[in-house]
Amino acid sequence: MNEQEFDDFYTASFARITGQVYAMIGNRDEAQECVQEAFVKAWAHRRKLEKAEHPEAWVRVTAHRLAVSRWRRTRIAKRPADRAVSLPASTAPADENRVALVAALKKLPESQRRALVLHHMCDLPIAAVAAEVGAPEGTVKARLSRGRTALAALLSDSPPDAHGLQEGASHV
Amino acid sequence: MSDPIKDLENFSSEGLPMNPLAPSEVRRRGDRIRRRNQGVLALGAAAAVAVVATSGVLVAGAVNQGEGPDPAVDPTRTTDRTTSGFLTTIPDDFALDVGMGGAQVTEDGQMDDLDYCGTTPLSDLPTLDVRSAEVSGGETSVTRTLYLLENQDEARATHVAVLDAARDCAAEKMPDGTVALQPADDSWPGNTITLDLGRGAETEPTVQVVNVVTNGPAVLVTSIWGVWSGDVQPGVETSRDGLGQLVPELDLFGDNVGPLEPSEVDPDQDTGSSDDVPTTIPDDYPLGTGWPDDSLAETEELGLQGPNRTLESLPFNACGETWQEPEYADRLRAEWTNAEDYRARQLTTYADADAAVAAVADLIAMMQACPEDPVRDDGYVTKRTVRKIPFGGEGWAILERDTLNGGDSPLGGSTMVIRNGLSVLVIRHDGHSGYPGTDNGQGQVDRQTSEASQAIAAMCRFTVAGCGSGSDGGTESSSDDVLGPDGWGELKIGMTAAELEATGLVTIAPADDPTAACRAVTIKGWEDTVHPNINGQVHAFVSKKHGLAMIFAQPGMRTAEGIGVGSTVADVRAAYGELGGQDAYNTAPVDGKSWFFLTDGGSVTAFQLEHADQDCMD
Repeated sequence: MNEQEFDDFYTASFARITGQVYAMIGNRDEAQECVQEAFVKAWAHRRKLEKAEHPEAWVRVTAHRLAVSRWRRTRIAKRPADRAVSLPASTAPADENRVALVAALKKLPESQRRALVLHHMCDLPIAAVAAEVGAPEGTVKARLSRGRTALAALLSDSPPDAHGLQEGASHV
Repeated sequence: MSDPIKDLENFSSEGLPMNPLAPSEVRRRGDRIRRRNQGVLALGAAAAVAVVATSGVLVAGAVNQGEGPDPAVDPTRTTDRTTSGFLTTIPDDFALDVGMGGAQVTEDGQMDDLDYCGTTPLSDLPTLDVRSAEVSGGETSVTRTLYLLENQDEARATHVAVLDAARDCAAEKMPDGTVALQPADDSWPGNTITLDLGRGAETEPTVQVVNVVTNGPAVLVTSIWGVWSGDVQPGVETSRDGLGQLVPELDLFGDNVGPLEPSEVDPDQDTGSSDDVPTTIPDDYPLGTGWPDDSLAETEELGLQGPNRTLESLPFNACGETWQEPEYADRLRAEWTNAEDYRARQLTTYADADAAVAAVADLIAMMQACPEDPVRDDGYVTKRTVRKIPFGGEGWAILERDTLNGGDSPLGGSTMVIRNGLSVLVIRHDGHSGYPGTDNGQGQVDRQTSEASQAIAAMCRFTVAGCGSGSDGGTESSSDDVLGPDGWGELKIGMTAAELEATGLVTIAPADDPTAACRAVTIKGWEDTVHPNINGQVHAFVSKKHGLAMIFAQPGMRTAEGIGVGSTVADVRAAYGELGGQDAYNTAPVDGKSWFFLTDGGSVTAFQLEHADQDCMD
């Protein structure tokens, strides 16, 4: 992959992958940072990227891994998103539907959420989802089925609360 | 919102505020990673001067230099050196293809697949840099790969690993060829290995000559194929002649280490007089520990079985044959099964360590001889790699990946075979807990061996050395260090404040706010807490509503399943199944209790046992 090819790949897929990772991890700024870092790694390891059948999947997997491996929060420290880490340009009004969907996704177990995003948002067939997450197809199908059910329930029942913003104080 | 799946399908990043870096900046940062001195300080000025000088000499020599800036006048060239003075990248102008004529040079490891009887000593090396040159076509095929490793020790170990693989393969006497380690020779600064497939082999040419030359942290591995069948000596000479110009240039990377010897075949360091070593396995041997709790299995028939002597012995199959195992003294079996999740352990003792060594050697030889099973009825082909793992007196990982029509599938199984003294432990995972992964199976090896850590540790009782003082076989650790499953020692989750105080083991802080749901508890003899969830000395919480609601693990404590600080998230998941949360995980409640694990994303940094309905912390 030469510089021009990489630049084209980066320009074409950055926003798409960021959206996907956002849906997986529920934090837009963090998604963007992780995807950014994944692209840096992609260039650093471009031989690997060339060998990868689907470079976009390679970047997505790497970004997801980065997101998961970041120290995020302990429950005691849970508080509204830390504005200090957000990037300066994030000012556009949020799309309400999208926010609700991401908030609901966030309540699902991580494995279900990832399967849903890969299958329905990234349009990957079950086999490709299985390969990307490293689980058998049957497991992926089960996660999708449970995830769909849970998601539907969450979005019909839950009041429009600000989930996850409780103070994490211990009442001593 | 009526159909969340539709919303998901239409989920678009459009309108999401994005401010990505410019592509050139991404590449610049990527290049910086590429050149990074892994964990080593930035290069000092003196080292930089040394590099430039060396490069200049190289240019002045007989190297056919391509275009590009003259390194002697370009101080920004990033031929980094570690503080020890070794290069950390292969200089762009290093002519790996010198004397080859029309070679294709690539920035990858063309020799990675070098394979001796199923062992691939060059796959997945932790290289700082790698380059290959290759000429192929017609009667000849010449490949050179230069691996630049982190240090001399890594390079030497890599060099020896190639020799070991060849030595072991030579000993196996392959039916379709002969591997030979050529005797070391003062006139040649490396080792030479030949593979002769014999006259009339299907593929011409029939002899491969491999040379391995190590200088400092750099290992050069070359391969040449030719028609020297029957007498490989001319091939050896041809291969060495071809490297005549290149070998002196390797001094750039460090001193030549000369020819090396394969490592000693000495699996018996831990054996000796076995007169006093027991061959009977105690019934309470921790063969079934570290697995998910029995109740987490989907049905009652699934979950934990054993440890017992009634489960059938594990069969070993390869290439359509079943291992005919030698006689053994005792055997204990245990299994944990769930839907598509099969985990089995088998501990076997033999009359003495020699018999155990022989049994493992026989089994491993059979597995190594079969890198690929015949096509199964369902179209799958099992591919098998066998490699050493650093456990016990000797350890092996048998990694099996099922492929379909030549492509990868997520199916496979992983078996660890660990011998210590006169005992052999087999840990086999199939189904979705068994696929070896793409990292040379390392993650899988880590998972299986860490799950079985107690079973592995207790094997010391079957060695002459025993398990050290104060232990009857390592089958139990101090119960003070175990938290859960229902509490710590006498202190059980759910005990009321009064019950807790009656034990005399705790101090309960007065409630400074009468409406508070919980009060802090300190436990006598415990250290000042270092739990990151809590400030001040708090070891537990007692809730008005639920009684003892939370116990924070002390440093060094582990769960009964062997999980503690440092365990990976995968370990936790393997022990407790599906987890809720992200980076901070709650396990599914069992008997009204749940675990909470804080992680740094990769491994556990702190944990606590909780009442499933605890109301003390969010």
